[in-house]
Amino acid sequence: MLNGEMNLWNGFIRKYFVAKRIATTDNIINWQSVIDSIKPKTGDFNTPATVIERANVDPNAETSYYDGIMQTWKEANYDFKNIQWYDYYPNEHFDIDVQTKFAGIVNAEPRRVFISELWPGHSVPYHWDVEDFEEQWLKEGELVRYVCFMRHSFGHAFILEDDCFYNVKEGEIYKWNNYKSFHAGTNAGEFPYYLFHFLGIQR
Amino acid sequence: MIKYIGNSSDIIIWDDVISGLERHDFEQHPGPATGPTHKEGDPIPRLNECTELWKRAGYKAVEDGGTVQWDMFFPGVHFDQTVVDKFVEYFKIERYDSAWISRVRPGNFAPMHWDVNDQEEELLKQPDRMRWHAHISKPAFGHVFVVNDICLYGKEQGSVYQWDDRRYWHAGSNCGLVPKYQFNLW
Repeated sequence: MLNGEMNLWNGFIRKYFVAKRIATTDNIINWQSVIDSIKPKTGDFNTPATVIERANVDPNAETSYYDGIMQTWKEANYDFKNIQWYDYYPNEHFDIDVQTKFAGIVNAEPRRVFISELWPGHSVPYHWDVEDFEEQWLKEGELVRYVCFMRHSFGHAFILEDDCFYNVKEGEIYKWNNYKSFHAGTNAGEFPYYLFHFLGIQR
Repeated sequence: MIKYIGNSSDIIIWDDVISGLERHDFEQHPGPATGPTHKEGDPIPRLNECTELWKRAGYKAVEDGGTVQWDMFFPGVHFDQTVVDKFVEYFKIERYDSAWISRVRPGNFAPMHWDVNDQEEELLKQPDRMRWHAHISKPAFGHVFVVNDICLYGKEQGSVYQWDDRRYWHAGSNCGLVPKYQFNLW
């Protein structure tokens, strides 16, 4: 049944083992005003090259991320210069109050919070996120990751393991079952694609 | 409206069809056609709806350093016409004008568009023309197909969907690791 299959934005049938819809930011965070606030700014520009540079690793070194992820991109013949996106950080690019309010909703201490921006015609392919302070954070408690859909528009798709989030209502918050899950984002539409990401320690 | 109408894997072995297509990349001629086939300014009614959107959004073709590109394989040229014959017979499709298999490689896009045809002036007089498509690759990470307001993702190989209107806006993207193949007919 198509309707049953395709109501993916309906949290009711979401595959709970990949991510679970837990709350909404409705009446707490106005995502349109957050988008408006970051639009005039330039976020941190990311490409495979900048990721390697920031991680301060030798691109030829036997690092797990380079071998594990970028090698798969290479083998799939990705044009690395077209893998590009922007990240925006609280306090630096948008009001930290957004992070504080969100942390209150999900009851977690923020550790890495950012808004990703993906322009039409770009994807961030199959990958998982590597965190420099992961070991330290794990000593503090349970690491949890949430994604919040800031705006939906044609062609904006977020993939988490074997599930695809599309047309999800603004403000919906999903908790990942595993903060290290494989994921990807793609934008085949007309407008930039924004997602709010929250990695933290569950209170 | 987009409607699931059945699975074509009982009548067509899609893995074999795909293997045949892949031979056209190397040993068999001709190679696949490459889209987009139309460009801004071509004298086709309503083509500008797509070309202007792409321009506004900043899309660029692969040959210009961007990501817009897909391949097209045609019956009788790249794969056997019997594939189409079996498909239309099984799904009781009485009339069709065009059939092809599209391929989007990892990292590439067929951005938001509707299929504006060379014969669009004539076709616009036939607003009831339907379309069908089948997911012929096995489900794979990152194979995204969007039509109207739905995203068809992870569909079983051979799944067939009927569109009430061939002019629905749609898009394909591949942020996975293997090529995405789709059978199309209208």
